[in-house]
Amino acid sequence: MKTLVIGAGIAGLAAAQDLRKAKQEVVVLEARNRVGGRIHTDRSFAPIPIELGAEFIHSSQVPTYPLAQQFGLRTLYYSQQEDTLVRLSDGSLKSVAQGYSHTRRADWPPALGEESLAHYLERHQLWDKMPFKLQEYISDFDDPRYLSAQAALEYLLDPSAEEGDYRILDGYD
Amino acid sequence: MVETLEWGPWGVWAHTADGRVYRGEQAIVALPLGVLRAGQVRFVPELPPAKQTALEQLGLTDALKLFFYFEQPVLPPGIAELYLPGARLEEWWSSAQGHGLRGEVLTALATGEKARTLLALPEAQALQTALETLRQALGRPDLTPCKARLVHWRDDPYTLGAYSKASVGAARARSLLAHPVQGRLFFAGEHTAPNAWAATVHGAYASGRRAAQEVLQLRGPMPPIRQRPQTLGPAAFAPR
Repeated sequence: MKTLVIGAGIAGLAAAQDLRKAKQEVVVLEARNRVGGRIHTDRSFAPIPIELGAEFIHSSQVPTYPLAQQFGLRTLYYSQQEDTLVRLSDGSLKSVAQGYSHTRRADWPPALGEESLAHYLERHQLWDKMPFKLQEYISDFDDPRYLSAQAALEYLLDPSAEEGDYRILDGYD
Repeated sequence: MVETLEWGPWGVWAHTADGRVYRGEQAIVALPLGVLRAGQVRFVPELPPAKQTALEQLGLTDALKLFFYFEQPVLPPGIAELYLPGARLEEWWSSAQGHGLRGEVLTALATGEKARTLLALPEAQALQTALETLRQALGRPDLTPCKARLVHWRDDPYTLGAYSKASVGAARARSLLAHPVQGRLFFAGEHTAPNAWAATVHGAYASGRRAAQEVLQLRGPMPPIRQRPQTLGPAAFAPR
């Protein structure tokens, strides 16, 4: 039984690996002259590697964390608490630990249908109570008027949103 | 590059741009959302309407990464990230920490309208705009990098966008995009991960493993390969 895997990013490679482990025949097709897709490390810009695409392992709660450990990759933890400065409305810089007094994982009410994140925050007057991870979610994606509140809450309630990030020092690829 | 993917009860045929044809019993489509949305790969027959709707509903984030290499330290000791709500560049972090580098490499991320505004500028001007934001935030008008560069994935022909985004109305789109089609087409990629894990490497990785399991559950694992006896003489039938 042969499976074609189209695309050799990490999704395609993970699929191919599991199929091979199960003794299946697999052909991986990739358009580029490299694998990895949006994981792409550059080693020419600076004396240390930079990541043109994916850069972090988002918490120790996700499957790529044990994978990095298994391969003995050196990682650095970014707590996003004491090590992160946030600019407050008066222009001053405070650490997230000081600037955000509330916990990351809030016991927030469910979203109504397909409302926007902005609408949800407005309805519950939660603009000032946003955990840093939700601020970051907004910055990572788009204006909250365009984002699904339901999907954002699904992220916020996930264990991966309870910690900071790990960076692979010698490159993601 | 796969240009056409024919699929049906008989299996799948992938036709590449250089005229080759690969045949399989099924395919795991692990292409980026941007490539699927742009119709870069023609499915014959077309994907079911529910999938096409989900592809349209699920947004694609415009994201821009800017890199600055400084020969001197920039951030205060013990600080690795800088978050500037409302600024033209909101997210900044050190990509050099842990390396013992005397200087600093800062990465900034812009998305959405902010990314599009910067992308509309000539590269040097976009980088200068970002630098001004940093100088102002840190109160250090002297900060000057020895090298700067920006990167985005919007125009890369094999990506056509940075990562998926759950737009209003698209809370279920990723789950719809993950569904297999008639036991022939299976789907993986960050945009098929649950909302909590989408747009990440771990989401993509887990989606690939999920797709592999779906194939194995449907088709079942291959029976173990039996060694053919070397000789057909009496020894081959000897009692154990």
